[in-house]
Amino acid sequence: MKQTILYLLLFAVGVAAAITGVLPEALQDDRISKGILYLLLFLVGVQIGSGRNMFRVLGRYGFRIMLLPLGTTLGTFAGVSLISLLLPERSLTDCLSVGAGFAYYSLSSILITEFRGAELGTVALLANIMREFSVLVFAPWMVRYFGPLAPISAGGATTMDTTLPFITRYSGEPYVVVALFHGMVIDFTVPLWVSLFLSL
Amino acid sequence: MTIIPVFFSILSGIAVGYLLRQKKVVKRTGILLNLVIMLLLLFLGIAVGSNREVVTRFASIGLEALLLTLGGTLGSLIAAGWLYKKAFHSPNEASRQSKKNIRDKR
Repeated sequence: MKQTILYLLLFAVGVAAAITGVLPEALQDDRISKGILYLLLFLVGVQIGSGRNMFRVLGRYGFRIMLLPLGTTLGTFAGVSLISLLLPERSLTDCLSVGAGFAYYSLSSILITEFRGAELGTVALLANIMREFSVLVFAPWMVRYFGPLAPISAGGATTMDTTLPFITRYSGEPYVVVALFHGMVIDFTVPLWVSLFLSL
Repeated sequence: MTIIPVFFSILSGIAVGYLLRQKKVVKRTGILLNLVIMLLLLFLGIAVGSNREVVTRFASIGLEALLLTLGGTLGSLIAAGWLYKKAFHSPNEASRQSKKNIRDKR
């Protein structure tokens, strides 16, 4: 929560600085942010490569635990594709790239802004923040109507950090492992799906 | 082709992370990652702020975001509900525990 506020604050500072025009020209150079973006992706990779526990949890739940990230992905893509019919200005792949953020708003909006422009990037930032907040607010309702896996699916890539305490509380202790595994898998696939949809 | 440099960056990161997984440096990746994300969000704000289109159309952009969130989240909720009934809802300790949790909350 604190981190989300800090992130949003930095974003707001950037917006305010650009609108008031206090920035030196050099900072608006596209190549700087592109360079840092590749550094970000490299670091995301380092974190995945050095992590140990992703496959250890497979034993207890077997193949079933792998079905949930798959369900989250397919369900999200199906829902977003339907919405794209309501948004004639946006192409299907643009909508899918926003949906493929799976609540990982920082990474997805940065990638989309870099390759598709600030407008779709802002859609992605807002949409994925809303998705994270939907779990913080509606988790009990999700469990009641869609079962204990529901807030995990809705939480997307955040189920191993920000939304984990809420999932533990409303889905129950035994789903912590499912949520951790789900978060790790989705987290890993976000940059891949987003860049795939952007290059289609 | 967006995906090739993106893919290459992540894969080389995974390789380096795996090779250095025993080293202490790697454990600090999270902090550095956080700093880089903060820096990029600042840049994102700058990109958004200097784009007039985005500033003037902010309300309709917000509505689009809301619709996409509703679609994506509901789609994943339905998938999770179906999956729970089909694959998880067996007499194991996990499902019994959660039913008990819901009952307790009611």
